[in-house]
Amino acid sequence: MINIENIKQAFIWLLFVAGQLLLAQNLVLFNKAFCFIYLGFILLLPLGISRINLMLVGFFTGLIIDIFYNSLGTHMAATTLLAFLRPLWINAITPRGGYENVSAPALKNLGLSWFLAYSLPLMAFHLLTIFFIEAGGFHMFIFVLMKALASTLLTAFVLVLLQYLFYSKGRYS
Amino acid sequence: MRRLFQFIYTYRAFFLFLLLEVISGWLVINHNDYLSASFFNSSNAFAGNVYENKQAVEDYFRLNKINERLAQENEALRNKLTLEPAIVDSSNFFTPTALAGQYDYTIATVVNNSVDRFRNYFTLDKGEADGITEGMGVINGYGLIGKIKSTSKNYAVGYSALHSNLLISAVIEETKTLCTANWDGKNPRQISLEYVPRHIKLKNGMRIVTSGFNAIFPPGIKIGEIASVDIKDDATFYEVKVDLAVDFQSLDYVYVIGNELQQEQDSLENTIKLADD
Repeated sequence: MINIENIKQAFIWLLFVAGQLLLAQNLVLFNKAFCFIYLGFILLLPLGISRINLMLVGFFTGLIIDIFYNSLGTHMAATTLLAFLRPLWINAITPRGGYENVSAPALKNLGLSWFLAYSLPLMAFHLLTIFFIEAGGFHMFIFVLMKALASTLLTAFVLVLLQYLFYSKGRYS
Repeated sequence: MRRLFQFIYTYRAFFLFLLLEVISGWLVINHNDYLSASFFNSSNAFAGNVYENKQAVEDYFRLNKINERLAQENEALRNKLTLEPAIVDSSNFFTPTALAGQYDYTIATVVNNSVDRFRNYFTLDKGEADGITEGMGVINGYGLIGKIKSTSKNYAVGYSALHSNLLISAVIEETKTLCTANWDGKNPRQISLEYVPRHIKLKNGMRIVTSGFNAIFPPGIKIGEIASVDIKDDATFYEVKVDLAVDFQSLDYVYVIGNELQQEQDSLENTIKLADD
């Protein structure tokens, strides 16, 4: 259970969550675009992780974020949903060569266009869930939709930027 | 039976997913209940501590502004003090001793705050140890800020006025009309005013203050000024937007208001409610 890979992931988890709570939480553009980089951690976990573990990690991450955001339940529900959908979506968009020699669904392994096709729909789903739960229903439909789309774009932009900065070894296309 | 277990085992990921979603859904719905009362939000010791340290760093960049604001508030209060004896002649009437010190103020620092969500909360660096309890009102020098939601030993979390479920009992100062202030979830500089009947003459710039009817805020705390008034031909009530007096994007020091007589007022009102039933 305790090996180098797990410790490394725990460390990355801490970085993402601390980054979310201390920095990204304050990054709001035009009162609409929010940055939820902590979902980058769920998205970038290795392909080998089991679905059960993935969902438990998502659930726990959501709980921690919720405690700090005073929105108990919201991020838990959305992140669990994201973790549930991730393997399904990864199977649905298998690239031509399959996932041989690919450790994680990251930009350096599979290229920018694949990464966007992978992350944008999942993020949009996650953020729509969050904002609709937060709004408590479907009144203000357009407003919530705009908020979720703007946030998806901002989060994806920051996530791609982070990967160019910190996961820099590898090929790009 | 074995087939059933086998079935559950085959689809265990899906069942776990359902279980976790049900748990989170239940938490969303029961968010205000006892379970989450003080542990599962940012008033718990760990989260409060993280936010306090974060704020300590941010304070270096805004101390000048805070100093200036506090000095201005001081000036305003001193000016008020010099005016006071001329207006009030205390020999003519008598204030019950209990009322003289009815409200007491505790100063606290806002260590975390949001304005862009549908339900906004703020975290304060004082808690039960400083006499803050659930349900107290929070204001600053400019006006109303919110209401304490839950407390731990050293921290407290409050509903900001920018919380779509918080209803604030307000009056229009000029006309003495009772109405309700509630945030619609969109613009963090404006709040909506509900239940203003159409026979009232409204104009922009009228002051909206707290009514003081609910024992949380003293009467006369400023909420804001009317920014726009609109009414449909067949509507009973106006649609009023109010510019908030407080800039929620830069909260620093706030006062938490304790009402010594809250219990007395509440229990008295409860007996009337019981008698009516």
